[in-house]
Formats: sequence, structure tokens, C-alpha cells
Amino acid sequence: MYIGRVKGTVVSTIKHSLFDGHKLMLVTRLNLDGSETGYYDICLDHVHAGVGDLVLVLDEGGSARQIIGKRGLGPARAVIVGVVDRVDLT
Amino acid sequence: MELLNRATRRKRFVKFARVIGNLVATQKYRGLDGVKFLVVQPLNASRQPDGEPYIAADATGQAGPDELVFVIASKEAAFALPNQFVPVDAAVVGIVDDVDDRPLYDAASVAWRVFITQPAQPVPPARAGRRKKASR
Repeated sequence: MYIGRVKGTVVSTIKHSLFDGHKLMLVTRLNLDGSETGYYDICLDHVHAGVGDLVLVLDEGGSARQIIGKRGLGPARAVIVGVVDRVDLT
Repeated sequence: MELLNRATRRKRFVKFARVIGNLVATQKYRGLDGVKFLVVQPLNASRQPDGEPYIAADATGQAGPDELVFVIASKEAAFALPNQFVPVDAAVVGIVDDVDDRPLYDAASVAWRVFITQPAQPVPPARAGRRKKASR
């Protein structure tokens, strides 16, 4: 899992049926100091995150399919599973 | 921080790509019959070319040259195809119509802001009311 920033929304009509009814968000990955790493993912949105939000992204296929509740196998990979309020580093 | 950077370098992702060609193979693994292969150029978050082109299977069946698509890598790529246990490590799973990543609160891109800064239209002079007929 990693912390990311939602940069925008992705609109797609022709897509795999697993993505039907789900929002797709463009999320850039952040370092722990809040700077951007330059890496990004196109994520399914499970928590109604908005553009500009700091989010927690799950990047693992088996857990992603479990979360979006589709049975069987499917090309789900990155899912936004939380909106981050605060990160405390010791 | 180094650990995090190393983790981000792995080839597991859902990313944008531009279709730059297709690949035809007559002899291939039996489970891949009917699957189209595309040559794709990976793109960064602002849709600029980033990295070396690679081959991805087309799970939409409809992606063509010059189209902006999104690609899934690793084992999930095979799950997108009709036969889910095939040797594939990248697949096109959707065709992108639009990406809305305009910066927030940018005056040039926010319609209501433009609307508010419009100069007020001059109020047309009120039409003179119809003169009442003098009552007898």
C-alpha cells in the first residue's frame, strides 16, 4: 500500500466489464515527505475520493478483487481504500 | 525513502499508453488464439512518452493505432483475457476517452470563476408602462 495524491479522473467507455460502475482516478505516488515520486497508477475508487485528496492506495490484485466484490478472476489491481487525514512519523 | 523508491520501480502497474503498432503472430501459445497484440508506448501521468515500448495483449479487442489506452501489468493482465491462464504480462484493458486533471482553482479552467468575473451587463432601461386609459 502507498500514499498518493488524486490528480484527476479518467473517463473510459470501452473497458473491461470489471470496471463497469467504478470511478477511475489518476493517482500519483508520494514520498513520505509529501513530494511526488513521479510514479502513478490508474486506480479504482472505493471510498468516493475527490481530486486533490491524499489517499491510501492498495496495489495488489487478490485484495483488490475482494474489495470490489466481484467473484472470480479479473484485471483489478490498484484500488483507493482510504482517504488519509494525517500521517505521523516518529 | 530508498526502500520506497525501490518498491516503485517494479513492473506492476495500471498505466497510460499510446498504441503505436500491432503485432501479428501465427504460431503462438494455444490459449492465445484470437487475441490481438499491440505495440504500446508507455506514458507518464501527463501523457508524455516515458520508457521503452513493449507488447501488450488487447483485452478490449477494439484498440487501434494512436489511441490512448490504459494497460495493466503482471498476473492480472492474463485475467483480463478470455482464457485466463495464458502467458501474458501486460494487457490493454480500456480505451481512454478523457482525463480530467486540470489544476484545482485555476481561474482559466473553472467555469464558475469566469462567470463571476464577467462584467455586469448594463441594465436595459425599463420600458415605459402602458399608459392607462383615462377613466371616464
